[in-house]
Amino acid sequence: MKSSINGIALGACLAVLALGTAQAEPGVTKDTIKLGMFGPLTGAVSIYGYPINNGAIAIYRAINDQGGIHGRKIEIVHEDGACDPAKTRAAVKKLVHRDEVFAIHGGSCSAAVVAAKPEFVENKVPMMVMAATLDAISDPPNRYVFTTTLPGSGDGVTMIKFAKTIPNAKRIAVIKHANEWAEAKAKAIYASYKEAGFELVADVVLESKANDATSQVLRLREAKPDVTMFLLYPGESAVFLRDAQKYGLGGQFLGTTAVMDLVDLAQRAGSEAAMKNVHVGAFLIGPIDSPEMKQYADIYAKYFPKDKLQSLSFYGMSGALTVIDALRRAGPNLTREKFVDALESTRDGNAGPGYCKVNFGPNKRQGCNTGTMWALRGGKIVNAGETFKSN
Amino acid sequence: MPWDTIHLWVRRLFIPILLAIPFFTDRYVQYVLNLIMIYVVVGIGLNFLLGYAGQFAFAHAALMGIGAYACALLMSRLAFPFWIALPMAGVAAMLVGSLVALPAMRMKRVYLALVTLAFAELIQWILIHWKTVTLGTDGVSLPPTQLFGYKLTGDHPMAYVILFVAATLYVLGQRVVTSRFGRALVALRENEIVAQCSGINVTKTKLYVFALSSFYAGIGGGLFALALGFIVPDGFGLFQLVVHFSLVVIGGLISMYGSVIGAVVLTALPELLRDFQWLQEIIYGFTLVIFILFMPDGIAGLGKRKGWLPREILVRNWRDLEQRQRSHASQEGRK
Amino acid sequence: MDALTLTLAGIANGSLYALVALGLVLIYKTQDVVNFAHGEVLMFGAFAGYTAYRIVGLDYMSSFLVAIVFCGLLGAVTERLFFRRLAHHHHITLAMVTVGLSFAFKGLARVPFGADLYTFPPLFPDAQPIQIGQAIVTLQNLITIAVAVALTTMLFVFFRITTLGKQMRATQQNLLGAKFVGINTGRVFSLTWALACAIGGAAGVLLGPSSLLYPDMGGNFLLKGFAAAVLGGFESVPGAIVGALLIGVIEKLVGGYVSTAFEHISAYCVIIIVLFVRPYGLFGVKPIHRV
Repeated sequence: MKSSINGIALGACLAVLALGTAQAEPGVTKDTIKLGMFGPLTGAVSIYGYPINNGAIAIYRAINDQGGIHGRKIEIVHEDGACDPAKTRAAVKKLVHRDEVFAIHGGSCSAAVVAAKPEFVENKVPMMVMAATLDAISDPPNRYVFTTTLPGSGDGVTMIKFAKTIPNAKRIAVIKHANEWAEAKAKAIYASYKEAGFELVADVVLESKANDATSQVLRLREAKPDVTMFLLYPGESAVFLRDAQKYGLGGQFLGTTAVMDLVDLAQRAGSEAAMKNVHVGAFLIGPIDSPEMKQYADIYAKYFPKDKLQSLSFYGMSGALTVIDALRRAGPNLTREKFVDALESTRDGNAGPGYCKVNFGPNKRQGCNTGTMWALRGGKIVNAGETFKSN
Repeated sequence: MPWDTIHLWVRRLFIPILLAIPFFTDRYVQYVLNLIMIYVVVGIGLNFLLGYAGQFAFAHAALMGIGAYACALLMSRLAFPFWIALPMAGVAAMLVGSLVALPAMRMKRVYLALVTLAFAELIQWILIHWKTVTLGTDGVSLPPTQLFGYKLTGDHPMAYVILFVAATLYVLGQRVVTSRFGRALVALRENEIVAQCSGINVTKTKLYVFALSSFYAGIGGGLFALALGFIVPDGFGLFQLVVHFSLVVIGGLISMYGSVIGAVVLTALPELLRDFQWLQEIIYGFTLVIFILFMPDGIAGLGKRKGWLPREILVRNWRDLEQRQRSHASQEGRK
Repeated sequence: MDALTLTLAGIANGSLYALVALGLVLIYKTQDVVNFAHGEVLMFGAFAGYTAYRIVGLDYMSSFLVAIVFCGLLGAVTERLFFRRLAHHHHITLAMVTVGLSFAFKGLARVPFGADLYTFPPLFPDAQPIQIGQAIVTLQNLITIAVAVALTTMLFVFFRITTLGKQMRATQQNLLGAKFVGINTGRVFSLTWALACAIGGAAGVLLGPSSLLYPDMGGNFLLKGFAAAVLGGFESVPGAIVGALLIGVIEKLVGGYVSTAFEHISAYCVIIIVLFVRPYGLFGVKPIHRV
């Protein structure tokens, strides 16, 4: 009798304790905030995965060194998604259910993030997208998913806007990869080119990891475009520009934000001559060696001195700065819902190296929608602005 | 070690344990267990073709993709319930697999490998470019699984669906390999000409095993779509194929246990190695090499040789047979 | 659209496929192994050349030789370590070992070279494209074709004339017989692998300028090389070359005249059709099995 009453009492105490601890916000303790991060850290895409995530990590470490947020330091739990939907879903499940992180800042592979999206949404975990650009991730807006990266549609819109300012440009052509990354940008182009007064004279596909674009360039050449928009990854962009030069494809070339590293692109394409008529989309405030970017370049170099500094290093920073700002405004009694509300009320937020002011709202989850165009002049990257000026 | 008793208890407790596990796991672990069960189905299918029948065919991942897409499209675009979409996914894959088999039957070894690989690439290309049907690279989102109005979303309810299908297909597989057909497959693998001379209709047998293997791949793909909720064409290419091959080779060719072991090892290991990111590829590659160097008949093969695993004799009720033979022999001895 | 330009580009690419296919066929003929790690051999050759050229500072020709020798050694060591003891195993097992090695090699390459796309300059970086009638071709394309032809010819000569070459042919035809007549078959195996991988390494250096260097660069070429070898008949060296050139040219022509979306897949469609008609490839011979 006595033992069973003791047992019940013990059980009741434990239950109360359990309830009590269960009510505490996951991932938040007196001095830490656990932030989950994921990205393609292994496999073919890891070349892009590391620099992007490291940029964000550098910002978080800098904040920690300055004392943290309301006395709490940020702890990053870093998982690999390998750009594979199944593995990314597993990574996110681990972060949410095993590591019980407070919020997540991650995801650079669009398809993988879409596969993992139900995890954030169903479990009400705030999610700041790292660098994935597929519009479907943040649109239609969902309470918990935010992004400060220029979405794919933004890239395409910037390119069309710029193309409109090119004198005597009537015929446009598109060369793209057959994947969702390029399709997102292509869709924006297809949706707006007619209205902008253009005629789409050629639309060709270049497979990824191609080493030769002969047939693509010859088809384009036959169609005689005034502007060719190349929606390609850095390596393939170099191959394309090199072959465009080789076969004499004329006109202006507009690239996406994937090739902001124009000096690298020139070197890979084989010559600066190949870059003469090239403008690329950009969503950073300046070239990586410019004075505006210096403070962010220094932060990255401080925490990752052995990494090569490239534009990818800055992709994750605007998200990190927005997260930190919202954590501050959410106050010392931190809960997920308060954090989401704080994010939602971000107005004219500091995007760090990002070319925009971060603005979210009750139905707006894409914080940055503006981009500009860069070009390579005299071996240096210049911000060519949003209007075409002939050189 | 009284292995026979251990085997007996494992056989009795295996399914009850699997039924009980979802009550103790968090969603991450259950998701991984679900993936393991899915890969068991896929592995059994590939083992029929590659292990038992010895056909060096490379289309398994693409057929899994067809199953996944069939299931996803039927559910999301035609609002079929999952218990119709899933079998139809298997049938769809089976039809395509049989189509691939028709030319492939004449070929051997590398030529077979390449033709099936070419078909696999073609299938992937169609998945990407036939946008009106497959939605191309945007991927297909599945609606929540429902069973007569009761929602089955979430890793724990899905676990039971997957377990049911996997267990059924495993038992079916057992019956297949211990039948005349199963023995015909092994004969085919050993020497096609001798098999033909023994009266086995080689053409029919090959067609059937391709169809059977594709059916399993399709069901595996359908389950994969259900577990993940969202599929893209990318996931069913060469990398996936290598995973399939690795799991049957490491687990053990010509062995039902091998498919199970391989699925467990190849799904759990990358998850356990999460902390060793940059080493992962190197470890994976060298593990594959070392396993094969020292265990060419897989873990199951090693297990069977050491007695940890029961023998897999391709005759039904061989235990009764053995018992009768033993008692017969002892009777003979007494005479 | 210029058919000659497309054809020349196709032949240049096809030459690279041919070198890969040659390596695959050599190894297969001797040891019955399909080397699925051959793409990584290509990649190692490219990076070895890069290291010699950019980091150590050797001149182009020496870097080329370094790449070839490095890959040759790699091949010989791989054969000795892994394949000598496995020679009698089932071909699926052997194929899986090469797959495992391919992963391991890629992972190893990512450690020093995984963080960037590296550039390897062409032999004459300032050369302008050459015009032949309506067609345009670069000097590097012509050099690639020339080197491939040279290597193939050297291989032919080697097999016909030198003792070592004859020993290799003998081992390929009849292993037991070769042992009986006193050929050191173990050494022949190692040398075959060394030769095959050396050719692969050469292909890597030739490929470098056009494709940029990164650890995954070999995958596509392995597939096309494999396809080319099978198309030609996996036991036939001239078949591999013909198959490779065919695939290279067909790809470009389909991309130019039909649709760029089909370019990648055209090779596979051709293979399905050809193998349907000739199940052992264009030049393959149906093997005679003794039962």
